Amino acid sequence: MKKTKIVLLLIVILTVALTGCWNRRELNDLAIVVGIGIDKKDSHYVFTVQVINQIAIQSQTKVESRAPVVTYRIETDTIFEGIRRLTTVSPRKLFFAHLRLVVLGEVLARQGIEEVVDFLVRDHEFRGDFFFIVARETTAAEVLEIITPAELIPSVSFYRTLSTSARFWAPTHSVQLAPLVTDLLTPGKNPVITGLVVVGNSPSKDSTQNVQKSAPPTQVLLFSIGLFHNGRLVAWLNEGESKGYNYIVNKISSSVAPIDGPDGQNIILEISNSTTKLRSQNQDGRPMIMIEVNTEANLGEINVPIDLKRPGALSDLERSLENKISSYIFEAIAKAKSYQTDVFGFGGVIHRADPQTWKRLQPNWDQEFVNLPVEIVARVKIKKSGDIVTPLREAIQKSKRAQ
Amino acid sequence: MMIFGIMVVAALIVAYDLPDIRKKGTRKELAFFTGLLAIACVLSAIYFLGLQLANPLDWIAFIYQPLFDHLLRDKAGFK
Amino acid sequence: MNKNSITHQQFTKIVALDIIGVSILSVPSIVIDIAKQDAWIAALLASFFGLLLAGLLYLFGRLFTGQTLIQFCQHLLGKYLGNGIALLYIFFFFIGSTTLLWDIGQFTTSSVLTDTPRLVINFTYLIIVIASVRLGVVTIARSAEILFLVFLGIYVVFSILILPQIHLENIQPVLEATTPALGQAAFILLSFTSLTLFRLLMFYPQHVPPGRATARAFLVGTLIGNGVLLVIIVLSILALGTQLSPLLAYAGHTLARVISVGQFIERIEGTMTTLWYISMLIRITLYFHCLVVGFAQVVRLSDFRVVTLPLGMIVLLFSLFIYPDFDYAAKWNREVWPLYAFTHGVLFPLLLAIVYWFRNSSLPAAEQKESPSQTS
Repeated sequence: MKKTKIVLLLIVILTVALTGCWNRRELNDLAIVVGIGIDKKDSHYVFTVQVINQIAIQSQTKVESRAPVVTYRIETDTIFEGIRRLTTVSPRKLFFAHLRLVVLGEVLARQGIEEVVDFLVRDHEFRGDFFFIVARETTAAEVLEIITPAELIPSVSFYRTLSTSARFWAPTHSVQLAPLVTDLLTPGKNPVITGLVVVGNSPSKDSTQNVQKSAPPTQVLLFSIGLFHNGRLVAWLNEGESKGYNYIVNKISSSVAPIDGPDGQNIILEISNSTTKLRSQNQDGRPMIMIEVNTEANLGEINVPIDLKRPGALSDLERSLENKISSYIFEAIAKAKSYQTDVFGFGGVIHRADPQTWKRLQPNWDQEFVNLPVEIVARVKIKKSGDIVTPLREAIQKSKRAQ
Repeated sequence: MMIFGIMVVAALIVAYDLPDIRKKGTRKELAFFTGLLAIACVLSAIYFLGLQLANPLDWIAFIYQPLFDHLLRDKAGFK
Repeated sequence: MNKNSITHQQFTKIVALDIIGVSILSVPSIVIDIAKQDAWIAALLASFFGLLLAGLLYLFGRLFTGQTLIQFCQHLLGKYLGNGIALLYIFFFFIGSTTLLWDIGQFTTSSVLTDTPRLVINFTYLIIVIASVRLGVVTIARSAEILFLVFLGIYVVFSILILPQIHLENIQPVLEATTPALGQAAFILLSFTSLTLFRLLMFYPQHVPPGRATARAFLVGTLIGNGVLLVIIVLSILALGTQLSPLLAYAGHTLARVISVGQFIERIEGTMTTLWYISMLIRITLYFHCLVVGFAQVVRLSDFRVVTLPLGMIVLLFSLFIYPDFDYAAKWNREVWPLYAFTHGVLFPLLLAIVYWFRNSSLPAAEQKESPSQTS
């Protein structure tokens, strides 16, 4: 039957077409990009791409002498051109779907990140689940060339550090593509990106020698939060202010907080749970922001003789942690106000609660933000005092005296 | 290359449908089948030779765009 | 089971899938762009008018007594005027088929298979469409029944998996959008859902026996379709926000990308694309069915299958360049298409009903009770 033959022919043709031959990317032809660094030098963009070195990380035939990643660098006038040109420096086709980290040089960040973000949103190969980081006081290229100890792939290492530290240590803030774009676009909110510093700039940082010691000479530390205003980096928060920022945006899940004990020595409290509610209130026709922090803490480390069995001892600690948190928050707001950038989304809070007032404030929000009254209420509850009620040091002294 | 492709597709279509049409159909059906196929081939050839084909959407927009501009956007406040 | 009739369940599913059709893919971005966080209100408005329209279409279809829309035109308006209107309809079906096929190509080349030529994608997809049209309406209905299950399964999984990513504050403040914005968003949404539902008149009066159950199928199908859309729009607002969504060509696809459950279930957008290929299939198939059947009825061919392949070739050709680029498509979808769909989906049927009423009012009316269709 003639018809059957034609259908068969068609099936054969379609089988060829449907295997995706135009798009096939064999695994061994790909260079898996895990990190991109973008710097601005004069009017050029400098691209650094960190690619997994497949030969070095294969588990069976691990070649110790090779670095686990390769970085390629290129200078171009536009970002898109940079990505295209990079394909000429790498022997394999760059594959971006597993990108973990985008590092922006501080110079670029201060000049504006809109173009970079636009490109990352536009190109379908970027999935948007990577983190942004600003290389503080250095270039993105420097950061990406460092070989890290605990993880084979440096970008993955930073990615993990960032997502872990955002969970266990307050002063960092992990930012992915979608929230960044939303913050850039929403009137009444400005973005932040965590900054990263390089410590101990040893000459061997870009070779595997860097990881042959237990304390690598060059390390990368996640540092503080960078404030942006309309896509431009304007200031850095210090550690306390960074914590304050995270308290305000309700991103503290656990952290440690040192507070001053009776005679100036440290008591470390471990924050186990913290939630923050932002509310907007109208005060004689002017909006006001109420920040309400509810924190649960555990006793961590106590270096002072203090008897926790004494009634009121715990509540004293609670009060002083409340003051501490309030002052973090206050400092963070003061810093942001001095740069006229509403990184906390107070504008959004007013918008949601009171659209009419927001319509009036919005055109001049940067100014209004500076004059916006903010009230901070922090409540701390110490849940567990650890397994011992009396600090060990005090117990030892007591028992010695008793003998 | 593309012209060759058009010829192959047309040939396949003819081989697939023509026998049935000749057996069962009337002259009218044969006429419409071949006529439309010829039009399709000519249009495809024009397109693949790199010449511009008129876009029917432009004709529709010619009628409705003023309607949108003057009625919906200016009067009803559409964006 | 009667070989030539469509069951009411099948018909419900055709209505639902046709309404979901293309609107699940590219329309949420447009609607959110216009109505911002209140887009869901626009979707509710659209559902309301959609239900109204579905009811009217049902009543209108009862006037046909077993004819298709095209035959009804010819019968009612005579040779010249009737065929004139019929040709306008056929042109509409042609535009619908080609633009939707372009959408398939655009979506696939920009989000899934970036290096594959558009011609190959459109060709492959059109083969399925032509094959189903040649097999007839009853086959289409049965496949709709199966595909609906697949669609619903993926859709439910999709919606549940997206839940961890939502931010409830994205939908506040409520009711900020102005009335024109809500109206426009609802109008655009309608133009991709219920305003094109009249294509069912090309086979519903013949293959589905009229009656309560059919009316219910119309309404339930419209409800399901609009419900699915509403959820997608709400999820886009909640998970992507009103700032990001309008920037995206295919908000639904980006939505699938942000799915990440315990860093374990992620990167499943490839699976999710099945959703759009299914819902688009029924919609394009119906368009193409109307195109070839309508054409065959205007020139009075005894078998519409004769023209499927040549017309398919023309549709394929035009689908390559019907929109010169994405911006043209965006402007067209926003400004021209809603009015164009309104003309064919509401205005013409209304005129036809009025003419029918005038003609029949002079006769001793056997079907006078159908007349409410044009008054409301």
